[in-house]
Amino acid sequence: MDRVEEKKLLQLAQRGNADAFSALYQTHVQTIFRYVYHRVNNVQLAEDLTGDVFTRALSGLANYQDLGKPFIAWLYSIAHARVVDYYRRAGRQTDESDEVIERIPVTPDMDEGILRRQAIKALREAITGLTGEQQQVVVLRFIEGYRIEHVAEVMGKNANAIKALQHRALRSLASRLERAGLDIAAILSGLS
Amino acid sequence: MNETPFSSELDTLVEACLDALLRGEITLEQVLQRYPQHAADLKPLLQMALLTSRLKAPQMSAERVQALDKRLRAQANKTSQPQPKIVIWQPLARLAAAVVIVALLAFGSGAGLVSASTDTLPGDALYPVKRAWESARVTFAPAGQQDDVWLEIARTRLAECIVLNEQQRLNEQALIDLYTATAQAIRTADTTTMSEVIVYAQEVQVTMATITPPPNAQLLYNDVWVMTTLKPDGTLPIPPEVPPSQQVDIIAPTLTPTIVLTPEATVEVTIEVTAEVTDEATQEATVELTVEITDEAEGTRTPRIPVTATRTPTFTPTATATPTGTLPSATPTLTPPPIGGQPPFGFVTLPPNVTATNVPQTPVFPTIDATVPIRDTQRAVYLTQTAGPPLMTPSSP
Repeated sequence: MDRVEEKKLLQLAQRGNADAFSALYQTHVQTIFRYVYHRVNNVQLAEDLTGDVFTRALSGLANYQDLGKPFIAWLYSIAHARVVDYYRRAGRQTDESDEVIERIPVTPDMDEGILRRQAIKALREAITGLTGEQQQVVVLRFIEGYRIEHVAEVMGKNANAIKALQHRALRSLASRLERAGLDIAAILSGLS
Repeated sequence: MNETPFSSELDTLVEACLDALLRGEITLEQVLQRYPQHAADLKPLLQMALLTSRLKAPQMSAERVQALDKRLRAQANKTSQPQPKIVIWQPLARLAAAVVIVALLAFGSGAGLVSASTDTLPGDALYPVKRAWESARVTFAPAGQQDDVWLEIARTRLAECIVLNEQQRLNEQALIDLYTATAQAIRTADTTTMSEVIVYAQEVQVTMATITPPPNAQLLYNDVWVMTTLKPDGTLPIPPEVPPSQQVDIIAPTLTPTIVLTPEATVEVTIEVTAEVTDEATQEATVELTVEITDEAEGTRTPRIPVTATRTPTFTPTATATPTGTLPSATPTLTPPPIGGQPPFGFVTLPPNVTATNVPQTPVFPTIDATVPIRDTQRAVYLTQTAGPPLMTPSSP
């Protein structure tokens, strides 16, 4: 969906056109779901929070102003706030902590598939242990594949700030997986 | 891994390598060969990026997608129905709501209304009910429990800010309300409640880091941030009740009148400037400027000139008065010497040898520009001038 079409749908949706909002929802629902899923690492919870994101988006649509950013940027900001709020209510902060991921016992005869699944599990847990902003950068940059400028636009920051967040996030992830006893190089070679 | 300090140069290098790597223009080995001096740092970072980019996410199930679509359509159709819009002047609405609540509670049927207002936001029809109920709770809270009520109210304001931010409706007033409630929670907290308040303050900081303040509320945003920042000893500073950015500087008035009399006369001039402004950000201050001119031959004339000072965004209102009146036989022009803002003024000496002539003239008063202090409740300025013989009785007023 290009920006012109999106703008038309937004104007119709703001006037109460349910079909127009449904079209916007169908376009973005899986993107928002993926974003939330990678931040909470739970399918059921991600589905609930995604529903919450679109419900709130619809409630606030009358006050939405197109400030030159794509609509998805607004949805991301709602999703980010919902995730932060979820962690706040759950009594857990998304601030980076020294929480050590459970060390994975690696044996020479361990099945490669199991090792890979363990690594993926550890990586997902490590991502949810990053700060909220670092999580945003990791998901948008590496999982959604956005360029750094697009990530900056979505997050409302400049590109240098995103580069710094990206650097810290990657270093934190590497450190966590190293402490978990995982050989990233071996896992990567198994994936290729 | 190595603990190389972060730098913008290294951030940029990491990004350049990632960009080429993720687009498949270069391999990891080629990057490491190209930057051997940074290889040890780059390797784990680029490996993590490659591994993360391979993560897959499940799809949201088709059933959930359709069920949510159905629910959203129903919600959209419901909200598209024209709703009667209730516009009530806010203070009046709050007063009315308070009366309604008290009345309903008195008859035992108000719980539903209060309950219905719980999740409302600023701008909603029932929001004044929510605020009025909070005020009532603070007022009627038993001694020693007001701090608990204030903490709960502060948490409510914070939750409202979060939702308003999501809806891109966060405004200056919402941040003022957040500041005020948080300040009360901190100020009233006893030793038992303070630990909870500190936890709450940290929640505020986490939230503030995720919200985008309105452009006109940056200073207010900073006020909230500073107020909830722990001191080195782990305690919270006692904040002022009013956000510092909303406080008004007191600026002394600077009137510079002089008196020139022709003919010789005895004139007593009293200039009284009164400014009354409440703390509640009243936007307009009314100043009454009184000029009393005493003519020993004629009596006292007291023209009163009401002056309105409009409060500017910098809270330095300017009052402009152009006194008019009739003085039969003198032409006083008021321009007293600099007063330094400390009334009452001293005496001004007239030229001793001024001859009075009995020529009725229309007095010409100067324009007086006065910078009036918003916080001053009262200022009086007196100018008394006596010189030479009294004026002769004018032939006509």
